[in-house]
Amino acid sequence: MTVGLNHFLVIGAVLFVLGIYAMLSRRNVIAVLMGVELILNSANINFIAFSRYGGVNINGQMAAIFVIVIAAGEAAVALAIVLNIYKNFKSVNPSEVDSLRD
Amino acid sequence: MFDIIFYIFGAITLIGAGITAFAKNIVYAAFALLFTFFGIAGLYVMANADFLAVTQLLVYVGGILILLIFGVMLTSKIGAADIRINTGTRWVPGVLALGMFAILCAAFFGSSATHIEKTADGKSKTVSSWASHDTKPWSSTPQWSKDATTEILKKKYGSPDEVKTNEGSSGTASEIGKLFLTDFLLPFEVISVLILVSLLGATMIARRDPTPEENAIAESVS
Repeated sequence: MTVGLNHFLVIGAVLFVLGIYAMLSRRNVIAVLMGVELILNSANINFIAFSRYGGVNINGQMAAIFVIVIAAGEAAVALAIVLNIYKNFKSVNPSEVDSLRD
Repeated sequence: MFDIIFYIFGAITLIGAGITAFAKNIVYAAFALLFTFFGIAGLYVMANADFLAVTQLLVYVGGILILLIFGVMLTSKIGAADIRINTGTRWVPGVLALGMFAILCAAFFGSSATHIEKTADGKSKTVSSWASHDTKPWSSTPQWSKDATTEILKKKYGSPDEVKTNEGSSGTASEIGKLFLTDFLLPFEVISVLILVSLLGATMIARRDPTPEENAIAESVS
């Protein structure tokens, strides 16, 4: 079976699903961030696949570059927030950071 | 050959992502993420996106992954038991993820991927919305590799078969650079402001509060 658009899309879908699972099941904020990175990468794979096979041409690659840049900014800000959470709560478990609940 | 390399890169990507999602030790998850990013860069090369593959390696492997590992090391006591991730309930995320995967696969392979298209003579025919654009790998180069001079030559001399080009060898970097300074100039500027603001914001958030002694020193200096 010749590799085509659907192969890229399936790899993107599996990455997306694994990222969703990591985001929802992990008990460590940094592992949740890894899930977010997986999801962003799956979106990028879809952009690239449609840019190659779907007639979107190079505009898909431009969108993927913007996604990469935003992912870099997101990782920096999120890591800073995680370090602050660790400083204040002595824990990186998202279930224990619930001061607003009371 | 293309298929074999594609499957190798796909396997690297998916195995790395699986370890990232399921590993008990978060350090293993971080290193598996490295293999995932490498595999994705390989997939970009497979899809003729060479500039993006290099960007992926530089930004993700060289930047984001290092940041994540820094986060792991700074927020856990090395050697202690809490470097392991205490995975909580697996049922709800597993069911949600599998359901989402089923929906996505149904969208890719099911009948919803085709739509009815009216042709010029009024007959309606079912067209697969993606398969109509499907091209065999390497059999035809993407449209952007034929530059403007080729188009002009084609208009001037008619037959496109006689116009020789070095298609596929020039890469996408120059094309992306031109697009950044023409069509995508406003998003380019906006995203550069965004990355500057996120840089400043990250340093502001992560800065530790000065101790009273440091405050006294700062006041005595000024």
